[in-house]
Amino acid sequence: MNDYKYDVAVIGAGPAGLAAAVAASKEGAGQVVLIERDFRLGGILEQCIHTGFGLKYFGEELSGPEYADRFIEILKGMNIDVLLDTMVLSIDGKEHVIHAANKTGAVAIKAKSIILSMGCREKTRAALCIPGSRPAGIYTAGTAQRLCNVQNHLVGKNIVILGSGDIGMIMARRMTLEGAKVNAVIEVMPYLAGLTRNRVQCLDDFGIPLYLSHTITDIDGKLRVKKVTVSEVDDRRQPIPGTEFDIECDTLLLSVGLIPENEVSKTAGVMLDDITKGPVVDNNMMTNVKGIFACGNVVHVNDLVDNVSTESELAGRAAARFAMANGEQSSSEIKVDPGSHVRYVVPQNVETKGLTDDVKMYFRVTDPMKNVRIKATCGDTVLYDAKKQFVNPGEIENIKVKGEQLQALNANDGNNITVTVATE
Amino acid sequence: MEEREIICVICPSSCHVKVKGEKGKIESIEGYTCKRGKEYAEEEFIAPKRILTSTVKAVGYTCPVIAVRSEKPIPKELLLPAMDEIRKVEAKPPFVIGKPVIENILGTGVNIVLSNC
Repeated sequence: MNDYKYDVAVIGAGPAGLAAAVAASKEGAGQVVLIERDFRLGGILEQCIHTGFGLKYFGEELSGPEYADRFIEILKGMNIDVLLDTMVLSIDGKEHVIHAANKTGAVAIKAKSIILSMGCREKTRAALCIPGSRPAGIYTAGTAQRLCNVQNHLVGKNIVILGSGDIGMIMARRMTLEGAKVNAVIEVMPYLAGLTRNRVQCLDDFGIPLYLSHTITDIDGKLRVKKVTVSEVDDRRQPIPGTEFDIECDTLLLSVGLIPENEVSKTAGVMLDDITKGPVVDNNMMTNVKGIFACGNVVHVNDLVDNVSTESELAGRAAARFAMANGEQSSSEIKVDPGSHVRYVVPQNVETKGLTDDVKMYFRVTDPMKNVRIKATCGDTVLYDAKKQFVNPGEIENIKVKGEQLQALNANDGNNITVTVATE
Repeated sequence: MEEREIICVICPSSCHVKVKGEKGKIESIEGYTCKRGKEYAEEEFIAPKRILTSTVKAVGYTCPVIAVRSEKPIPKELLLPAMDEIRKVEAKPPFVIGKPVIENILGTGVNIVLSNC
C-alpha cells in the first residue's frame, strides 16, 4: 500500500478541482494533491471544444480546453502534486483518509482537509423510464461528445435528441457539422432547458426543429434504433393520446439533466440535499463533516463554468485555512431556506462567526417569471432586496449578501435565512 | 424585401426583434429593448458571424484528434464549407494552443488554430 500525507487533497481535476487546488496552494497550504481518474487534467472541459467559456472570469471567449489550460498552467508553477489515472473509492470521514486505486495498487492519502470536486454524471434512459425496445444507438449527449471530440467516433448519422439541455443542443450542432442529420430536439417542458444563445447558434442556425412540450413515448428497433415515437404532453407533462408521430433515426441522444456524483461523498458521511442531490454546504463550502469541503457541479449543477471557478476558489481557500489551523474551529451557523418560487439555495448554511466577506448565494427559480423582486430575509432583518426583469429556471441566479449584516445576526434566535422571489 | 425574426442572445430577456430590409440594407427594425440588442440584431441581419470549433486528426498526440477553433468569428454561411477544409488537414507536434493549422481559411483573414495542447 502506498501512503501519502497532505495538507489539502482535492478529488477530481475538472474546473472545480483545478481552481480549488490552485486557490488552496495560493492561500498557503504547504502540500496539496490533486487526484484525477482520467488520463489528463481538465475534466469535462477537455471534450467541450466549443467556445463560450470564460466570458465572465477572463473576459474572453475560450474553448473548454483553453479554459482548463489557463488553470493547468498556473498549477504547474505551484507546489501541487497530481495523481492521474487514480480512482477514489471511499473516504474515511473521521480519519480524513482517502482510499484510491491506480496502476501502483491501493493508495491511501491522509489529508487535513479534503475537497470534493467530482462533478456530475448524466441521467440515462433508465432514469427516465422511456418505454420501448432496447436497441443499440442510445447515448447520453456527453458520451457522444467524448466519443466524437476525444476518441474520433461519430455515434450515428440520423439523430434525434431528447432534452434541450446545453450539451444536447451543442451536440446537435457538432453532429451536423460532422455530416450527420439532426431531425429534432424534443423538450418535455414548455420552455428551453439550456441557454437561449445555444438555441440560436446550435439549432436555429442549422434549421433543426425544437419541439417544446413534447416527449418520446416509444423507441423502436431490434439491433439498432429505427424510429422514435414523439407525443405532445399536457401541462402535467403527461402524453396526450392521439398526438403521436414517428421520426425515423438510427441514434437517440439524451440531454435530460445531470446528477451530482456523490457516491464517494456518502462514504465519508457527507449529508446530501434532497433537491440539489449534492452536499449541504456552508458559505465556506464546508460540508457537515468537519474539514471536508465541496465545490462545483458536485454541489449543484451550474450553467457557467466561470461561476464554478469562483465558488471553488472559495472552497480552496477555506480548506487551506482549515488545514493550517489544524482543524480548530467553532461554529455558529444559520440555515438558508428556499422560499416561494425558489427551488434551492447554495450555500444551505451560513457560518456567521468571524464572517467578514460578503456571501454569494446561488439559487434557481421554479418557473420562468417577469418583473420580480428577489428578497433575502432573516426574521425581521432584510439582507437583500432588489428587482429583476426576468428569471428563468434554466439560468442560475445569484445574490450577494453583506458579510457584516450576516455577522450581526443572532444564530441562536431560531430564525433561518429565506430567499424568495415574487412577482411585483 | 426580406423579413426576419431574430432572437437576441445578449441577455436572458431573449427579445424577438423583427428586421425588414434587403441585401445588407435595413429598412425597419422593431422589438428590441436596448441599444446592444439593436446592434446585435443589425449584425445578425446584415452579416451574421460565428466562431467555428471542430477537431482535426493529430499524429503523435495523446488522442486521435485535437480540438481546433477559428481565432475569430467567420461568416455564418462559411461554417460548412470551412468544415470541408478542416477535414483535409492533420496537426503535427508540437501541440500548442493558438498554433495555426489553416491560415486565412476561405479568404476570411481568420486562422484555424489548435485550441488544446
